[in-house]
Amino acid sequence: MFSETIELRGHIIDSLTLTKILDQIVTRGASFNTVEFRIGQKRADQSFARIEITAPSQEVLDILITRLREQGAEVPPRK
Amino acid sequence: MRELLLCPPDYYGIEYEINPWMSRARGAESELAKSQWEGLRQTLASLDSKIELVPPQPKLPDMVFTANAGLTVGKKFIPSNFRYPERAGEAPYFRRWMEEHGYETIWLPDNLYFEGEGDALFSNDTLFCGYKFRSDIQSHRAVGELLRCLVISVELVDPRFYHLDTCFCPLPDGSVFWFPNAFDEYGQRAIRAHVNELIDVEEEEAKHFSCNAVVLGRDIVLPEGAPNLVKTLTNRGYRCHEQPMSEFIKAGGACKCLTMFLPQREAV
Repeated sequence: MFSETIELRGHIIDSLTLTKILDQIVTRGASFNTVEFRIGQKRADQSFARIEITAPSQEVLDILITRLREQGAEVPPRK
Repeated sequence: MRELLLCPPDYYGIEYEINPWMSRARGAESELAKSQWEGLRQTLASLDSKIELVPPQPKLPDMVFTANAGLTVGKKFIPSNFRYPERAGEAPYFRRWMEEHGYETIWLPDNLYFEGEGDALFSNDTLFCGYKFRSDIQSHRAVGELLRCLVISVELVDPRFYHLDTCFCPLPDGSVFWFPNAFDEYGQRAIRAHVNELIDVEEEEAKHFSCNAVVLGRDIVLPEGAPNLVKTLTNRGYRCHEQPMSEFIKAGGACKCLTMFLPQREAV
């Protein structure tokens, strides 16, 4: 299995960005694990999610990551 | 009284093609464009507004579309980072004008595309932002942090409606008229969840850029060619001022693209 971690920031709940990203992961045959999730407390506060994606092939993972970057996902540097 | 920034179309023309509307082969009629722009200026001036003019610059034909200069809230001006190099040359001229008129410029990071009021419109206290064709979704996050407001990011999926202001127009009563198919499914759902009432514009009328309207209280200045929308808005108590905009639609713009609010909001 092939995996990558992405991070999402912003009004990702109100904008349905998080929902869209999780739907795309599952639709493309991959799976996810939510590593960290912080929800903004006030209206203007932004939220944060760190999600580990696991895909059946590197090709599926690469295509998925490219699409998710367009939706605002960031791939943090590997430690 | 609202202040509006316009730019005379002295150098306007179709000199490149950066959206599906533009065709250098077809071009725009210069004198007719000047006449249509003057008609818009006079109409806006006759309503409750004060018109400011930024000097046009040679070789920057799209500078006439001032909505893409940036986003202004109070005395803060967030300039655009244009996606296409053809338009990037406009930015220093808009910034200079804004600073000369007392606005504080706040730059976004260079690597984030953001095309100002074209992709960022307030409805009540929520800032709706479009992304994909011109602005990046990452720029929305930065704008939200700067302004400390809720930003609803919506993906645009029809290249004919490449900016938010081509398919989404907030009204002062909290409602919005829009062309739903310009947005993806999630964007449509997010908008429906955050807008009190939505007025759907049919595709035939949306193609006339009818959502690209300047709203000044109960007055709405919009391109001609949307009789059903005009009837709907009139029945809701708005006064519609229809403008011939054919020469600007050839470049993918109309009334709203030709106008930037100074500011769009006093505060958030």
